[in-house]
Amino acid sequence: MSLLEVSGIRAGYGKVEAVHGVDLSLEPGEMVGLVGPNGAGKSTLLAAIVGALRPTHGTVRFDGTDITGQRPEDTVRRGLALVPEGRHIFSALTVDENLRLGLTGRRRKDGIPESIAHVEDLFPVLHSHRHQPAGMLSGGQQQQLAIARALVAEPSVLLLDEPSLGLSPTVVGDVFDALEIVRREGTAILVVEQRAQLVVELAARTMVMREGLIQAELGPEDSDADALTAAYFGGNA
Amino acid sequence: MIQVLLDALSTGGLYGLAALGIGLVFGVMRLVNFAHGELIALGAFLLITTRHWGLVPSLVITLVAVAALAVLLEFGVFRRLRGAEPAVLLVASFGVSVLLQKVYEAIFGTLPISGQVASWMSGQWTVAGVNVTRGSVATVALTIVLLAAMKYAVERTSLGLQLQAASSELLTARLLGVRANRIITVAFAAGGLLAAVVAFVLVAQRGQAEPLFGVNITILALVGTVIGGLGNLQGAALGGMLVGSSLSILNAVLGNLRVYSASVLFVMVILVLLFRPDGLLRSRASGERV
Repeated sequence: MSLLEVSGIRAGYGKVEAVHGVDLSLEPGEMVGLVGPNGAGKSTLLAAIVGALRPTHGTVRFDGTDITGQRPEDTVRRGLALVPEGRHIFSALTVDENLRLGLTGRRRKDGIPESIAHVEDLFPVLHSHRHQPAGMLSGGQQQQLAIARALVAEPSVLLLDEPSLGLSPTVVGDVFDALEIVRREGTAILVVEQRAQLVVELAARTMVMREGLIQAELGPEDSDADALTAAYFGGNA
Repeated sequence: MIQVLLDALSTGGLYGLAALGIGLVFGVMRLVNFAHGELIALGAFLLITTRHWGLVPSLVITLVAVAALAVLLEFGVFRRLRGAEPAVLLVASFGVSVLLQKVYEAIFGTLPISGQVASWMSGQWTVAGVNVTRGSVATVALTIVLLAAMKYAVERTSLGLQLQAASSELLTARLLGVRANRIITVAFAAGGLLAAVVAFVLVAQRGQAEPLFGVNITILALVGTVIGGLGNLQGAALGGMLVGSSLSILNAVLGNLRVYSASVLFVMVILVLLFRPDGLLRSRASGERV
């Protein structure tokens, strides 16, 4: 039994179904990638997993429990955290206040100072800017804050939607270095990425999603451009 | 002159409290709650009907009952409409507002009922040869205390932080563990408490209550929340104060022409919105995302 088991999920907005039956599993300490063109249904799938959107079919099992359709404020307490696309930090609040909000979904009420210190170790810029409004941070720093805010809840599964969006290559490197540390500490990571090559190289396996379905599974050995193009557009490699 | 300033401050403070009550609920629900006026009206009716029980019991009953009605509206009506279009919420709040007005008519009649509440507020003080009404001094003091308490609660407590987050982006806040239903109930209850306080000050001034008691101040307070920037609690309070004090000053300056005060005020409002369509305080918070 996997830590996270998604089976036969169908979901969408209104009458438009965007995810047409997806299976996915995640083991502790594993990084899995999810790539695919715009409109493939990746973000909808993440929303359905954490309960921001109620799936019409299928089940989400987490740590052995069926959590299908539970509210996001409950799934996060179970240990399933989502860093949404576009970061969505609270720009009028300070860096420190943003981090404290992340504690809302934490199960364990002890060890809080250690958790804060840990994410500030991962992203030192958050410590030096902690009393500044989060809106003053650069795009990369805001992404680091969004990840740190999710991490202080000590999730066992971390879902990330396009963490590299709008960031410079150096900053993207920093972000993924930090994610690698988090993964090695035992957190399972599912990352949706536009930069397919990057994630295929780093993740243990990467799902290619297109038109609402998982079309292929790639390993790090498939990170050359031809294999990727084939998987993306459905041609033969 | 001193009295004009004091009136401007006290009317401004009163409208600020009303606007803050509306802004609290708008923030977490994106609901413009027209029924806020009927919360104020309930407070007014209760204060007058219980006035012989002593000020403190009467106030406590009013605060509890108005907050309870606010929470009841959330449970009975608005919770069932979660995720509905803003227009649906708007019409629903209109419906609730008219329904409550009719209920008050059925119970208390359409004519005002009268009664002196907190009569010590209607006297005057002479300070250094200047006469000031006690009511306006008390209102200013009450406003300062309440706004300071609200500011503390919103900025310094964990629940307040969650309220700010939920007002800014409800879904993001929920992803972090903020319980939507709980925080919305808190916002309605806090809005109800503020409505009861507004009712107290108005009843002490006017000495009467009627079914449409809260309509006027609610419309003007709504204008205040829009000017301040919807979804911004500080902006709501500030916008309400601006509208209230402008109205008070216009009334004093225009003298016999004071029937035009509201017209002049709304021209000012239109001008503000032409140049700052997102409200006065909106710019500071908009530096987010790429």
